[in-house]
Amino acid sequence: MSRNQNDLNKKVAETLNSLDNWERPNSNPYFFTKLNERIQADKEEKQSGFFSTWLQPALFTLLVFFNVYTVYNFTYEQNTEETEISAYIDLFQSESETNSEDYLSFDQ
Amino acid sequence: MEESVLIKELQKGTASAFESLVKKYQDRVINTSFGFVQNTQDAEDVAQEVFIEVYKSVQDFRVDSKIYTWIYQIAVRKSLDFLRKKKRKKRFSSIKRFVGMDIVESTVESSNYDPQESLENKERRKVLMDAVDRLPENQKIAFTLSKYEDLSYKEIAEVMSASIPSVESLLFRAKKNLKKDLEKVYRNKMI
Repeated sequence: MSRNQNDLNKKVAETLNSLDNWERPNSNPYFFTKLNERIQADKEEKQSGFFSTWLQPALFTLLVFFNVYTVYNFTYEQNTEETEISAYIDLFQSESETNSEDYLSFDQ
Repeated sequence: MEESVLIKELQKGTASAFESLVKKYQDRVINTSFGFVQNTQDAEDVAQEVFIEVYKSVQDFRVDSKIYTWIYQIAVRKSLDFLRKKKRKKRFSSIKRFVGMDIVESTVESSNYDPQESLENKERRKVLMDAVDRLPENQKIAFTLSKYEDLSYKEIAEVMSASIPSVESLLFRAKKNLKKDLEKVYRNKMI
């Protein structure tokens, strides 16, 4: 076996054994505190999740409904007003026509 | 506290039971995750994910199973998920770099190893871990559980839901592949 091959084998063996003296990483004393904070944050997010999944769409629908109702009412009132005005105009016209005829007949 | 009592208390939602479970297993979970992710901070993050899942799904846990097997299974799954996400992120950032959209991101990874460890050994471990990362997934799991957690073949078989002979075979193939890979790496360095 050549010297190069020997070196190679030695290096490979050393590398494979490099985990033998492996020591665990030091544990973080605040691990549980941090974990607890994350769990609480998750719970709060779930509660705000209720707002975004149910309450928010419900409020949005209510707002849309209110807007549609307002627009409908406004248009309806305007139409009624316009009908009333045109009714007055018609009445006035018919009255004026009658009056003029009366006047004419009186004149004759 | 006996394990079955601990599980029952956990399922009832007793806070102190969860605390004692975390304190009992946190080092093992962090260590297992470290074996995969090779970074203390990332290993702690993965371990947190593991315990959050334990907390959320303890109701579904069957009392007749072993809790350590279940926790190790979650730890392995979460670690592999983390590695997949990391690889995807790396691929995406290299695409961004190629397209010229790259925002300067810190590429310096935090220190992975013990500062007292010799530089030479750090180098060797880095080469070894890169080679482990190139192993097929099952071989990687078996090797990491055996080397980092020092689990027995029986325990690895339980975690991997496999038979003892298949674990033996996985470890044998993992070592053979690693040897071949390392020879290739060092030969290329020599040229």
